[in-house]
Amino acid sequence: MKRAGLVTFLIRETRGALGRASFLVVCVAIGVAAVVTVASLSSAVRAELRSNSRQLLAADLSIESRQPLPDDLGAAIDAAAPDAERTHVREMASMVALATDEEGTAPRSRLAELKVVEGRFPLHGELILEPAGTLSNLLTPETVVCAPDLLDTLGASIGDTLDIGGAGFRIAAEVLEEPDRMEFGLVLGPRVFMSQAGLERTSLLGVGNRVKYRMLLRVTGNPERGALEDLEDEIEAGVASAERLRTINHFQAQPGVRRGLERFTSYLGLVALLSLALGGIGVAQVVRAWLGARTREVAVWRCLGLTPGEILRLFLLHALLLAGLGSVLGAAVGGAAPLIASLAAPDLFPNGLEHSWPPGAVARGLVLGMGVALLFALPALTAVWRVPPALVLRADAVPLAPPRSIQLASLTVLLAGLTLSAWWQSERKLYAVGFVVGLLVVGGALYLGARGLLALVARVPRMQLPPALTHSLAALARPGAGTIGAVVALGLGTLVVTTLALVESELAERLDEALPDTAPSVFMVDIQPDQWPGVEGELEAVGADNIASLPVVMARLSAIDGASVDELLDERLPSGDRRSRWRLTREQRLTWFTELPESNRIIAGALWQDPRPNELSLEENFAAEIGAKLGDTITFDVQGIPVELVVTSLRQIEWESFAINFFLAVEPGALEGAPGMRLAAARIAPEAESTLQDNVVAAYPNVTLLRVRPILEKVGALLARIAFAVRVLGGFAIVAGLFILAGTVTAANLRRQREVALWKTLGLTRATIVRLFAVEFLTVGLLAGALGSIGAYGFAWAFVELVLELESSPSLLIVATGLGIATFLSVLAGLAASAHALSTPPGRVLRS
Amino acid sequence: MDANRVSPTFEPKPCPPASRAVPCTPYPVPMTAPRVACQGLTKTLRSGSHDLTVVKDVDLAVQPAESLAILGPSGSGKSTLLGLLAGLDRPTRGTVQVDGQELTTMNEDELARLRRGTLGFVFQSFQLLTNLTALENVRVPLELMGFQGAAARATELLGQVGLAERLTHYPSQLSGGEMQRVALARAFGPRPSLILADEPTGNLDAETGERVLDLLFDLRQDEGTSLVLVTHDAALAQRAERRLHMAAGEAVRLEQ
Repeated sequence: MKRAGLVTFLIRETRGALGRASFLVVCVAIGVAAVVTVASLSSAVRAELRSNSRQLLAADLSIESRQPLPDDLGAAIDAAAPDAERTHVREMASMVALATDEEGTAPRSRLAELKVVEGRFPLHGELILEPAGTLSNLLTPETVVCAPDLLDTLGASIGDTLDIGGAGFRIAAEVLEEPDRMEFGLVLGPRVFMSQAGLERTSLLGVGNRVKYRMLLRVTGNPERGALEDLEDEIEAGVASAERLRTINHFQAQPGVRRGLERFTSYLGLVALLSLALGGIGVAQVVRAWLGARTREVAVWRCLGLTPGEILRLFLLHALLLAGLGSVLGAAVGGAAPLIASLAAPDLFPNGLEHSWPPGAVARGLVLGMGVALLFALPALTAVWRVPPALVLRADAVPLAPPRSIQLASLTVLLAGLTLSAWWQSERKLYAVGFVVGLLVVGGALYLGARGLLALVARVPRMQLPPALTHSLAALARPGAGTIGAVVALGLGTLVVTTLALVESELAERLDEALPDTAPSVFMVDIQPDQWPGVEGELEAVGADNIASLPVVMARLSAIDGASVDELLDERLPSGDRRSRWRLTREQRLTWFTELPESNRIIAGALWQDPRPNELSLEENFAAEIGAKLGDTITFDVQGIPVELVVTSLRQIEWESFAINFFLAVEPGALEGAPGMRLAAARIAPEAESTLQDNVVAAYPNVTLLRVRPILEKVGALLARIAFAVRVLGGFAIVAGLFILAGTVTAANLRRQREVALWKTLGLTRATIVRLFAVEFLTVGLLAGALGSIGAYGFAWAFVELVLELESSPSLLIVATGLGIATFLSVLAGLAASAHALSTPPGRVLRS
Repeated sequence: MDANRVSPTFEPKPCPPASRAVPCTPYPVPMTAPRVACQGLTKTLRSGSHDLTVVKDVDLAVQPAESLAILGPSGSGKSTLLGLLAGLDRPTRGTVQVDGQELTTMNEDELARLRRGTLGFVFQSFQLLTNLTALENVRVPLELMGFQGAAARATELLGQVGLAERLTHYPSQLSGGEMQRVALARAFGPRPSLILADEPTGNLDAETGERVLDLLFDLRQDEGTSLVLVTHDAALAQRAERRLHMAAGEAVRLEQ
């Protein structure tokens, strides 16, 4: 056909079926809006979260070691990341005393943690200093910046002079907030910031000082996690003695945030995928209905000499154009999501406008929108082959069978395309395949279920049923009823919507629980065992709750299952596995408890059930990394004394709980008498913090109190954002899904007009006709809803357990609601579609 | 009937004079070969548990420029026979040839391509495309053949059937008679070898029907098109050169 004629033809076709055309456009628009919303919100949230997690590390990468950093590290970094900003940091403990002029009085002194900074610090985030300023401005060779608790302990104030390592330093400012202070267990004392030049004035660089050397890097260009890990590998590859180094990137900095982000991203991907599939189902149904309504026309086309393939291409082009329109609309709406989010919740998404309509997200939406629409339209359009040209002569002409190859080809293309789209969205081949297989299984079950229903219904005349019921059920089985198609479409739609609801409720709940409502606001370290009752008393006196306390003993691994650590380093673990090697050689922290802490779960063995007194419980990933398993004997070097412990249980830890957690736990009594200290965490009211500080410092000067409220509040805010986004997106997708479902059922039922007219002519009242139809729709709704909801339970369980890695217990209430809504929609929408016919005089319909 | 099964001699199909710029598909057409012919044509439909033979063992042949009426009461299988002759339906047994080409061995695509430009149809229920105007309806078969002057030819034809004022009207805006006249214009547009008409006046009143028939036969005369006309109306059938009577699916008698 000529171009101009084609365009006119398509416009005319659209105008002739405006309702259907609009529905197709809307279906695609909704699916694409979901995809683009997810993609744009996801990049907006990622950007926010990334800036936060960087702050928690104060850098993008941190390379650290207990020995001076190797000389070739600099060159390795030059090679791998030449534009990276670097800061050299050294951390060590030192006694700090208040310089006093008074003769004869012992100066007040305290063990403090020195942080010597050479370069800009922090590379991400900022220190809140009082008076305001940056370290670069305030730190000179003669000045230091200290934590308020040090000043309290020493009775010093800003401007006083401290004696550190034999040199005098003026206190220039207090540090009120340190964003990267999260490794509570290793804290030895309050913080003191010093410059490199200042350190050189002291005598601290001598022998016997345990120093932690760190190189902080700020990398240009916002790399994703994978890119950062590649960078880490590259740098380590360029260093000869890399096993002495430990590198962390900011994504690993805070497990709670990291897991939250990962789960959220997976969830977003699922939402987008399901919405797209739902849109596709809507497209398939409307195309089928459209074709069904144009059967006569198709027969005329065939008669005039168009081949089925040519007719298919016409319809396909039409669908593509409409899908294109829908995609553009959907992308326009979806891309505005960050902007809308920032208007709705300005403190949660402050940078909304910047992140709106990202080109990548828009392009993805357009491609997926048109692609999925085409994929779903294709099998429905193979019905073109079914239309017999003889229909122009005989209304009862037998439908032809489409060539097997065409049917197979269209289904194959659909499945392949769907798998590819799923892969693109989820970025993991396994999930994509699992998703498509799952859809196939449920779709297959629905198909078989529908076939079964039809077979059952065929027996109906022999049963003694009220005539209305008999007729309605029989009507399901009549040719051209499209019952199978309706059941499959409604069932898959119910599957999608119910899955969304189930996953959303579970994830949002988990994120809410992860918020540190019960998380501690203060940590205390270096409490001597005999001081604990007193400290506990102080805590209770200020009304602390959620008081948790654990003992800590430091030790090193000597041997695992007979093999010494040196042997293990050489033989069992390959040299490339630096993280595991570091785990073997570092200092370990052991604790003990009688009852399993709340955030722990035993996954192998049993806790302290063995009659032997020296049981050890390991965290599962830690055990895997050091190559230990149940039953192994591990020898520890506890401050010079060898201790043998047997692994009798493995634990899984929920790191997001913000409680104090240990990889290694021994049976109470096994380390009796070993030198150690206690850690404690508690939640106290903000007003009580200073009081506690004063009291504790006065009575127990060696105890350090860390106020973690600001950090936890930041993390809590992050998780709140994620939970909010989960709820909003889930809600939007569910509403959209219900809309598409309703339209789908409607589209399938618009052909009822003739039937209604005939019934009315035969003398049935409208009420009776409505009852007839209601039974039909009810049956379809129940069957589709039941199978779809059950499938949703399976899908949701699989997603939450396998992808989100959380314990899943999908809500049966939601499953039942899914069934109810499917049935309700089927009846409501079906009747609504027939409503117009019910009120039209039959003559008009029968005449045309 | 046997007289029609003559061994053909071949001659290229003549192309019309250049003044009527119509696409010409020259393929060797047997000179004495019929436009459409069938042998032992049978169509059996499966209805529930038993078979219904709608057309039983029919032989016929229609020569170039000849008109044949297929006459019979309703249920005698005449419309089915028409469909089989046009390749719109597949016979259970027997063979059909259009312009010497065997239809039963063709697939759907080949049948469709054959219909383009070779066959024209006029139906009882008009079967116009409702989303296209009268002019566009007539243009469709012409455009399908890739004909360059489709618009001009369509306009000319619609003028010939007296619808010059109705070019931009939609079928819903036309009366029955007007719609059938559009169908005529559409059928004759590409200068087909054969026109197949199924009860062309069935949905028209007597007077309108007469006018439509006049047009049909006039156009047929001008173009030299063969015509197979299905009807239950004996008077209408008289206008054709030959009549084939059918009853209960069988060809009962043929009269001149």
